[in-house]
Amino acid sequence: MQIQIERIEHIVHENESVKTFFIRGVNDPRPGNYLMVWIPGSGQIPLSISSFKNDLCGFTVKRVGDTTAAMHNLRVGDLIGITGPLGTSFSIRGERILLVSGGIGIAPLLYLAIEARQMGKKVYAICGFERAEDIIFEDVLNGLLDELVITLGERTPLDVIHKLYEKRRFDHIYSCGPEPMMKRVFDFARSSQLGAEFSVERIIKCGMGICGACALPNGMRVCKEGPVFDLEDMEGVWG
Amino acid sequence: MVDLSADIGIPLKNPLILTSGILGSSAHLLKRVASSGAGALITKSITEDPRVGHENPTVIEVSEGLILNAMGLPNPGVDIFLNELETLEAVNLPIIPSVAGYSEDEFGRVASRLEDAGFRIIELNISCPHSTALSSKKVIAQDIDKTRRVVNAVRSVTSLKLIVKLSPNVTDIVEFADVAIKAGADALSLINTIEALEVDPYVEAPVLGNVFGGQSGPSIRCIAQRKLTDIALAMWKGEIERVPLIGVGGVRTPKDVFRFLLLGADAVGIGSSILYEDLAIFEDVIEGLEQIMTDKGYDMLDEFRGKVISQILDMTI
Repeated sequence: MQIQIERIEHIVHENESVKTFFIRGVNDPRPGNYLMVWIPGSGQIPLSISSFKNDLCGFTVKRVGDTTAAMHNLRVGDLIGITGPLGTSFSIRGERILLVSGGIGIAPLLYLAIEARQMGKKVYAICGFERAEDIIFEDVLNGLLDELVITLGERTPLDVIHKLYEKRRFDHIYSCGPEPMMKRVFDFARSSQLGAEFSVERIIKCGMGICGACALPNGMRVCKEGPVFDLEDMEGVWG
Repeated sequence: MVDLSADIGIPLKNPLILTSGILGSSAHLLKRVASSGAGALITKSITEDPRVGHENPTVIEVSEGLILNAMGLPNPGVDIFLNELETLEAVNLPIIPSVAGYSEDEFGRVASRLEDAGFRIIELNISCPHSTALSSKKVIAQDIDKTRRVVNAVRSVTSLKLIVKLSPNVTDIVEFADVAIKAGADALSLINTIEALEVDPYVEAPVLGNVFGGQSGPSIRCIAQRKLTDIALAMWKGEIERVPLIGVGGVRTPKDVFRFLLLGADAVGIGSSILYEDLAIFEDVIEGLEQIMTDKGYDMLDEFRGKVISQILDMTI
């Protein structure tokens, strides 16, 4: 897929280290898809799509390294190179779904939540953040979800998942965040015999499935056969 | 049922080879490709020490069939590579490590390690056009003396079968083929990517992170065919020694493989076209090649291999 040049239409400051950028020209992305975003002169990185409405595609970027710092320095009207939408998407299976995120991992799950609510599904979420000032999307999630639980610091989403399951009896889990957290979500889903899907992160080089840099231990390529994998796929990685 | 067996110094069940640089970085992926129908796998190029490679964008599709890359030889280094391959359960086809380096000694040391680990055949990647950061300087395979020295160095320390991968970015590829063979190459693979560059007209900047890259994909197939033919003609005429040839460059369809075989290739590499056909390409191409051979009444590759080279020889003086 070829790089297309798009103009940044709008920028939202989510917190001191997270911004959401909006562009046009992304053709019908699904929740879970990602974009390869090229910042001319400063690299190219994969970024999950966090919303798509009225032809405006949002992606949310946490400042962690040189390329994301360069992204944060961009202004409305600046040009970036986009390849995508790429990769697999969330199935949106289940009628009572649970989202489990850690940190910036809430980004692809926000778009999933918006779509699932539009389909009339019950949507619950447990979102873990390091500190209160790291919390993003709280207002929009509160307006959207049937229940939102936010955990901070040492208390993680896994500390509340059993209790929420007893209360809500969700039937499918979608997770994105640090891998140790997702592995524990995987264990919970397996022991509870629930379906689950995970948005997995790896260093992505080509983004086209040919270089092999992002291969998982099961031989699957995150850039092409992911980033969304279901529980069965991840058996060969976390099982 | 036609017989697709081929020989590049070692026997292959079919002539399709996963080319270096594509998917061959982890044991898990190699295992997957091994079950996809290829006759042999060439790994990503391995250096003595780990290399992270160049900054993204490292691979871009400029247009359908025109791919540029500047990966910069990312690899875990020979030690980790060998540990990784130990985890690979036995696969029933040859795995051919590709070796790269920055001096003839490094090539020799890595080759020795691979021989000690039990490999029988390696490919020497002396022709990656963008392996040093922002380098527009000549690579080994563009310098006759360096080509001779590197192949000699490896030949003198191992008895491995050596495939030498040649660069198309030279005036006379036959001269390089001759030098590589005389220095100890048992087979040649060609072509590596073609020196290339893309610039974006909107942001007014080079696109690849490394600026300079190499072109691959179906857009280079006819160039590869020409270079292969130049070498095959010299071999058929007896001007240079005859060794097995692995034709590489833009192969996507069964007809493409058939073309390379008509032009004297003993085996055919498949690489960038995986972007379009994914791993199914190997089974699909084998099925299509069998169909072409059945339709034409061929039972084995040697019945038509090099047929067009003989024809060209008759047409030229």
